[in-house]
Amino acid sequence: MLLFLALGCGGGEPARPPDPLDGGWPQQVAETPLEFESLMAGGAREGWVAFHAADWPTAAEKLDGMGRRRALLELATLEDDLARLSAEVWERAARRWVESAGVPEGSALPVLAALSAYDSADAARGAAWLNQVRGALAPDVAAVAAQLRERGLSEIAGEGLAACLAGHLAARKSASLEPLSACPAGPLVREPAGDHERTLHDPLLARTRAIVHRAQAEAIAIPAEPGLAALLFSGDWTAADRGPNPPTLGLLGLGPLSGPDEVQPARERVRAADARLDAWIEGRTQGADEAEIGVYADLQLLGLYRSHLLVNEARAALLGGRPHQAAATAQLALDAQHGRAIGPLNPPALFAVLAEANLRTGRTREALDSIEVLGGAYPFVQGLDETLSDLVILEGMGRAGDSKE
Amino acid sequence: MMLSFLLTAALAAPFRYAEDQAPAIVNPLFSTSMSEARLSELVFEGLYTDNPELATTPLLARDLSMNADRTEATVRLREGATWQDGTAITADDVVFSIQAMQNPQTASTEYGRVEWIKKAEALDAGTVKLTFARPEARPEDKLFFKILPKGRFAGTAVKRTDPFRTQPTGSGPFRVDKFNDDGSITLLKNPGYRSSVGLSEIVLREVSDKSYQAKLLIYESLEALVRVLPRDLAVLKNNRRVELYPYQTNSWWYLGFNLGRPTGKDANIRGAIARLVDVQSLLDPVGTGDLLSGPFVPSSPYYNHDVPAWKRDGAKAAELLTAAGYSFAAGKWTKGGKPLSLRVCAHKSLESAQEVAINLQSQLQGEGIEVQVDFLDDATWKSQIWKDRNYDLVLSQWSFDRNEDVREQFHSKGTRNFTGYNNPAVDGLLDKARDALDPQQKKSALREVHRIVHDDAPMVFLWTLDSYSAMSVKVKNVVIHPFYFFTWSRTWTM
Repeated sequence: MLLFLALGCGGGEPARPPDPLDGGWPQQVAETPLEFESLMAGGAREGWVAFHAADWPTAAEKLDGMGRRRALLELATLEDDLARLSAEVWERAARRWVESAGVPEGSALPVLAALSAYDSADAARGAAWLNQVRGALAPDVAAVAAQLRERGLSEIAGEGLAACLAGHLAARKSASLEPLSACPAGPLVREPAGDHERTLHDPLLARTRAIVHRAQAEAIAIPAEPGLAALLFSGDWTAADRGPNPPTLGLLGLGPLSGPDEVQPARERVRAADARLDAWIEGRTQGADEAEIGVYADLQLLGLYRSHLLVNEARAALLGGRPHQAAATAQLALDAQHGRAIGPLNPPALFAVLAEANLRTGRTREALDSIEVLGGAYPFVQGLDETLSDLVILEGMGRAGDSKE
Repeated sequence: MMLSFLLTAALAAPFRYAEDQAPAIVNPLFSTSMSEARLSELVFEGLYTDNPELATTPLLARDLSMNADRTEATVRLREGATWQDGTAITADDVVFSIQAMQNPQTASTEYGRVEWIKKAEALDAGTVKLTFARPEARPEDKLFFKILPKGRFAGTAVKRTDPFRTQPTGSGPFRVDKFNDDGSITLLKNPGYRSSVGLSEIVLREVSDKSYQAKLLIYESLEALVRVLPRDLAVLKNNRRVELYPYQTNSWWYLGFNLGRPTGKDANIRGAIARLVDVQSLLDPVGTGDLLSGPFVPSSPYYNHDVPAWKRDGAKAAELLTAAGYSFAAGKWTKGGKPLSLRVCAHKSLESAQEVAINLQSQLQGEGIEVQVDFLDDATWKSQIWKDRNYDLVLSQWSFDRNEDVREQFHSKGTRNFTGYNNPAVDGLLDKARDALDPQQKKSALREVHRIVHDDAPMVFLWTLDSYSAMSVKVKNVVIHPFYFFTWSRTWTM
């Protein structure tokens, strides 16, 4: 934090052998501090401090222009990760529930599972879930089921549950979260279930938020010369890494994976990338003045770049159907020393990606550990947390637990 | 020539891992600690196990079929499976293992894992019929307990002192070779194992000084630390020859009262002590962790977030001790001229236990309660805590697999309930949770258990720590089981 105030005292350039990795944003920050200082001007310091700490909501609130755009995009990316996770959790939980106890009479469970499927653009699965409804639904739930059967999730109108869903659709169109005020603050559906109340949570929330935040970000124009603001504290080393075939990934031995989805090659790739970054920073800081070395260390520039980079790699592995390699990569990204906290080295998307990788490799209980971290900073995640916890219980139903000292 | 020698030496190098204390015995019938469970995982096998996706998969079983009302299962055993001495594994071994766990004279700590089996009988050498107390939807999910060779025992009443404890015969990928003078245990690859095993030798090294373990790993005198001290995470995470692996075993620390003794029996005294302990200051020297209000970790589906953890409240504690008949004079709480005195016991191997226990002693003595602290070795712990219940307060830790089933700790009939806790309402809720098919009914019942157990305070719930293992990068293809650690060690290589 102190360095956010104290930059600007960089010395002359010592002679260093050139390295293909030269020119990344960490180097810009450490070695040409004037540009970094100018970014901090005009009251933006607080926003960039939040950005450094991966506190996207605060960064989006405090920054303007490119900084705000990037904070909103980070938020949208996190919410996209959570939307993907939510869809998977809903499908698995509803399926397990039906296998374990059958569809509860009159329950909205299959309707919400259908909503989740429709929202994932899987109309066939959505329709199949609607066919699982048993008994008489509450009127507002029945109205939603009827409209879904008729026209999918394209248009919903009505009261209660339907009003909330209409709010989602309006939010997505208007790029504003305001219409979500039609939704209840807690669970989306509450049903009596004998000696307890069954609560079902909103399966659309993360995707709606992602769509809104992405639209808000894209409405902010990119300056003709965005400079350091476009890359600072990101997983893109240089501007060229924002395009296809990012050159730095090639230099670090990362990028698309091939072969079977096994953990060992994924770990070895990360290790090789670490060795390359270690060599680069050693070369850069050899003979450098203390202030420059201090900037790299105190702002954790390499560590921060590495964690964002590896989160991107883990996400790519997930999207490429490689959950084991995604899990291995995300685990290596995690700063274990602060493993239960969002921070510069543990951006929130790390926990979302880790949760999805864990879920897809059978470690559903471990996925809850990651989601628990997010729930503190992002209250909308608490519904997903509850649905995931239902899935954890369903997967353990009938198992004999073990405990030891 | 030299290269060939080095290569051979490297290939034959043992995989050495550290435990705070090496198990004194290797017999799954009496397994109570995580170090015993990890060792058993290398040597013994169950009928079923977890595959790397944590789905139930046959191990010593070949398959299982059920009768129509799901009260009976017929389990066919894997063909050709043998014990490490080369003899065949038969249905008699399975029946024996279940009956030994169920035999009250054995007093197996694993009884709860077979309680649901009413009868086990061998139909032929390769087939076992199991009859259940209630219908079972997926009995294979409960058939993970270890199978033992009947031929090594005189009967189903097995004693802890049975010679098997140091000369075990299992069916797993590794066999115990020897207990060494330095407290380490050497295991060798089971040459008759039915599939390939990557590591040729495993050495469990007892390193009781936990702060020394990380140094041994860094200096390549170990290949793995099972649990890294929180304060060692920084140095290990920056070491490129070491990798950290999350090993969250849903563990929590607690102070457990002996409810069979006057100090533990009196709810006022328990409530007072819960309010006199400054938990955060006990935790600070150990590392960062989450403080708890009940018997689950905060990320558990069952953790009741509406229940706050005890906070230090000296005035309320004084009120409760007064209600218990104690008076405070000259810096001491006394009753009938006798001081309020507690014997606090901790297991020698519990990481950081000495710091925590001494700090606790200082806190309570500062409040006028006499405290004697004893650190017990494994044999004394099992005898004084589990068997004789000779303590007032224990400082200990429970670790749970992903089911986080606290029934054995808090049900009045639980095999791990050495505090003597007995609340019919909690028994009822635990029964309901066990039988529930609706996940939210189970969640609701166990969150209520959390609330009641917090209020009854048979334990003062302390904290949960982030838990990581550390492994040399020399070890390849490592996937660790979230509880048993070594379940898939067969595929590890060096």
